[in-house]
Order: sequence, then structure tokens, then C-alpha cells
Amino acid sequence: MSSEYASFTRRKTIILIIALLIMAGAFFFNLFTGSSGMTIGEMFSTIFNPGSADVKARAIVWDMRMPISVMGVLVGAALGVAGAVMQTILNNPLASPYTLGVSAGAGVGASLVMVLGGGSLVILGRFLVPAVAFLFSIAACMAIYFISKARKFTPSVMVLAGIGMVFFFQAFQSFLQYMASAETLQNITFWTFGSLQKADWVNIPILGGVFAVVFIIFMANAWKLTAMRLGDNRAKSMGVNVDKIRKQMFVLISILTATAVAFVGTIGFIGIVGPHIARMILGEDQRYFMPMSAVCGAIILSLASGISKILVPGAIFPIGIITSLIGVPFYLILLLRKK
Amino acid sequence: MLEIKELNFSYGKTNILKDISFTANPGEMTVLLGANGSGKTTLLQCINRLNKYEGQVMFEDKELSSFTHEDYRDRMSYLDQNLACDAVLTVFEVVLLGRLTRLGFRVSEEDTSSVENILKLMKIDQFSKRGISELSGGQRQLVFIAQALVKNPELLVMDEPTSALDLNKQFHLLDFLKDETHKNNYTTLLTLHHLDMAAKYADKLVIINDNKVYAEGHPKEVFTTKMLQDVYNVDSEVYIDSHNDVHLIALSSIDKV
Repeated sequence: MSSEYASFTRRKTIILIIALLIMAGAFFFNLFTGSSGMTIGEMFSTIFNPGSADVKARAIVWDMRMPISVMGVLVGAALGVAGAVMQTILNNPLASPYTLGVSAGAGVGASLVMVLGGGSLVILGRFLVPAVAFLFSIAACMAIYFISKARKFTPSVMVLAGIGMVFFFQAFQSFLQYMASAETLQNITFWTFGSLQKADWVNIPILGGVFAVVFIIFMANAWKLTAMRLGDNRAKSMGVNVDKIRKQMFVLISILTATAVAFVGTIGFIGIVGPHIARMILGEDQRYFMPMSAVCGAIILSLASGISKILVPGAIFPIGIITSLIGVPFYLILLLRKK
Repeated sequence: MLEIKELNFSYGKTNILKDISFTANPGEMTVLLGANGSGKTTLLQCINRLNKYEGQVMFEDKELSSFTHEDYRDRMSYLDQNLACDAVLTVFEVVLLGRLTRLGFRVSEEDTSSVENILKLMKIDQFSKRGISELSGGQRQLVFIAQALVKNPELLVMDEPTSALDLNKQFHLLDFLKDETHKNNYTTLLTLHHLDMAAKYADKLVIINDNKVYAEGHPKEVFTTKMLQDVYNVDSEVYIDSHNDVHLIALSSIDKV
């Protein structure tokens, strides 16, 4: 193989491995921060030797911190890679599941359950909010899908249909908030800010499984997606069935995003900033771009989660606010430093 | 061989192409000429299976619709007229994508050496690490031509391959394309705007006028003052030089405003 191209791809692989190590660091930072007063030594001992740890330490690490930290990585990776593929298939750097109304749909679903009192049901409530959020999120995607289908899935129509969905669901959301009692309104507001607090060992395998399957399919289409960045006609001429890939990828993005936001609420910024950072560092060969977007998303969300615990010790600070507060300056620095 | 038989194409009720028939032979450069809006690009897009047409387009005695998507894409290359590109990809990566139908997840040695060879042959290997969006229009056009050639296609269809090139580069490119066509037995079909270039390089010309084939044949047979009047609305002089090459001098527009 060409030594130049081989060293070029080797460099990309090394950068990706470094990013994975940073992601692991961000994961542990998120895991180790909190108001329990446990030392890092105690944390390590509870993680690697849970049998010898006391019940309280085991509960803090394995029932609270670990699910939140794993969920942070999974949700960040899911939103990052979903944003990357969305931007690729729509040929639009502003596209993301958030800007196209997928998250807004989830918000309406969750709010509807809360307003109708379903969220306070003892066992059912725990599943009802994410389940309806998921269904509304998928409904938003289906609306975009069928509107776009009438116009041959052109990227501009998909983006415009998505923007329409954002406004529609925002109006619906405002109506529900208007109708809600003060206590329900507080719950809705908290949900829409996004939170990793509801992570547990039931929803993690669900999101993990969906992420694994969708990510493998994304990677299997990496070359075709890369070709689509050169424009539809050129990609078609190179052998890509552009309309079919766009439809398939959109459905997969919808399922992945809907699953993620159903469990944690609307965390918007990661789907845009994760792919942008990945693109600046590794370019758009999707074999590297997609995993890097996932890793960047996971890093940002894990750091945001950790910082949110430091900023207001003992309280649960909405993570959606932190992701934007730390993500935007970092993103702008990268943007300004770009040659 | 590429054989077009009674091809018709319409946008809604507007006929763009009417009963188009001609052949393009292997080892020859066939050049399509016609005034703006005559349907040249539409015709090339029919051959590229981007437009649904009536009639027949036969390649190697098989109608296009009978080829599988993968097989046809493996055997033909198409150069789009549009040079816009904001992808964050290097020149090497863009050219590599020309072998998409043959690429595995891991890039093979054959793939990378094909890219290196075509970049060297076209003398653009010095750009290989640069981003495609950083290049000038002319440089980008050469990269996309390299992308079309990198898989060694049997059928090469190019829409205005010289539109962004300076005069010197146009000569270099057309010399190169003609040489590659003869050497590799490509069936090459392209559109050009510069009539002198078409006269110098075409093995065969096909003139489209009023949505139909106006004339087909060797430049010496096709280039006449009457053709230039009918198709381009210009008065001209046509002469053959001592090297037996056809030249034309456009004198003035007939339909002056």
C-alpha cells in the first residue's frame, strides 16, 4: 500500500485511539465526581472489588454513579453519531436530530404523559414517560419521512419538513405547559433540560443494544456515505443508491435518537457540535468521522455531567444547559483556530 | 460500443430530446456539440441512468435497464458538470472514491496504487494531500476527471470536462484523454463548448439541434458554415490546414440584437 496513504490513515487511527482514551478519562471524571464524599481509592476498590465494599458504597457506585456515567457515554455517542450521519445525508452542517424536531417530539410525548398524570403512576410511570416520548419522537420522524417522500427525499425538503416539526411540537409543548399544574410544569421543564439521573441497568442495555446495531449498519455504509458528501449526482454515478441510503439512514437515526432522548430528555447541542469537532480533526472519511463523532459526543456529555455535579454540589443541575455552556466555547475555539 | 436508439425525453410536456440515435465506438472519442439548452447534459444524464427515457440505450449490445446497478457503475464513469464541493476530504480520498464499487472497508494495495498512478499520469500528484475544497475550480475539475478514470472504465461519459481549465490545460487534458481512450479502448463520450477543440480532438462529432441529431460524423464532414449557421446562428469560415485539421473562424452572430 502507498506508504503515504498508509501513514495518513494510521495517523487518523492513532488520533481516534487518543480520543477514546480521553473519553475513558471523561467517563471516570463523571464517575468520580459527586457529593458522596468517597475518595477515588474507595471508588476504585468498589468498582474492581465490589464484594469487599460496604453496602452504601456499592449502592452509590453501582446503582447511581455507574449507570449515570455509562448512560452519559452512550447518549453522547448516540447523539454524536446520529448528528454526523444526519449532516451527511442531508448535506447540511446545521442538521441534527435536535434541529429537525426529533427531540421536540420526545418532549411533547413526555409532557403529555406528565400532564395526564401518567408519570406519577407507581411502576408504569417509570416506563410510560420514555415509551410515549419514544413514540412521539418516532412520530416526528415519520412525519418528516412522509412529507419528504412526496418530494423524492431531497435534502432541502427534509430539512424544511424538520423545521416545520420543530415549530409544531414547540407549540404543542407550550400548550401542554400552559395547561399543566405548577408541580407538573416543574417536572416538564426539568425533563426538557435533559438529565442522566434516570439511568439504570434496565434502560442502559436497551440503548446500548440499539446503538450497537445502528452503529454497525452505519459503518457498513461508510464508503457510500462518504461518496454522498460529493453531492447526489456524483454519488449516484459512483454507484450509490442515494435515495435508498438516505431513507435507511434516516430511519436508523430516528430510532437511535428517539431511544436516547426518551431516557434522558432533550440534550440538543451534542448532535451538532460532536460531528463538527470530529470533522475538524479527522475530516469526512466516514470510517473515521462517524466513530470520532460518537466519541466527541460521549466526551462532551460525560464532562458536562461531571461539571454539573461540581457546579452545584448536592443538587441535580440540568445537563442540557451545561452541554451548551461548555460545548459552545470549545467549539468556537476550534472554529477560530481552523486554518 | 454505446448505441442510442430513438431516445426521447421530456420534462412534463416539454420535449427535450426527440428520436436521438447515434453510436459511440470503443477506442474513439465521440464529442457531443450543440447550442446552450439543446439537451446535451440531459442526454448524458439518460446514459448515466439519472433520467428516465423512452427508447433504447445499448451498451455492449445490452439495454441499460438490463444491467444491475453495481455492474453498470463498475463499468462506466460519469463526470458531472458541477464542480461545487465542500466536503472535508483530501484529493487522494476523493479520487479513491472513484473505485467505490470495488472498495472494501480496508483499502487494498491495488486501490491505492491505482489512485497514485492516475494522479501521477495527470500530473496532479502534488495536490494529493490537499483538501478538495481548497483547490481552484480548474484543479478540482482535474481531480474529478482523475476520479472518473481511476477505475479504468469501459464507458467514459464526461459533461464539459474542460469548462474550468485554461487553454494550455485544455490541450493537455484532451491530448491525455484521447491517448487514454485509444490505449485502453474506452468508449468515450463528452460534451465540449469550444468548437476548435472539438474539431481537433473528436474522432466523431454528434451535433444536437432543435432536440434532434442534426449531424453525425468526422469533424471534416460535419463542420460546415451551414451547420454553424443552423446550430449556433453565426456566420463563419471553415478551412482545413496543412496538417489536415479543421478550423473555423466565427465572424458574427446572425441574430444581432
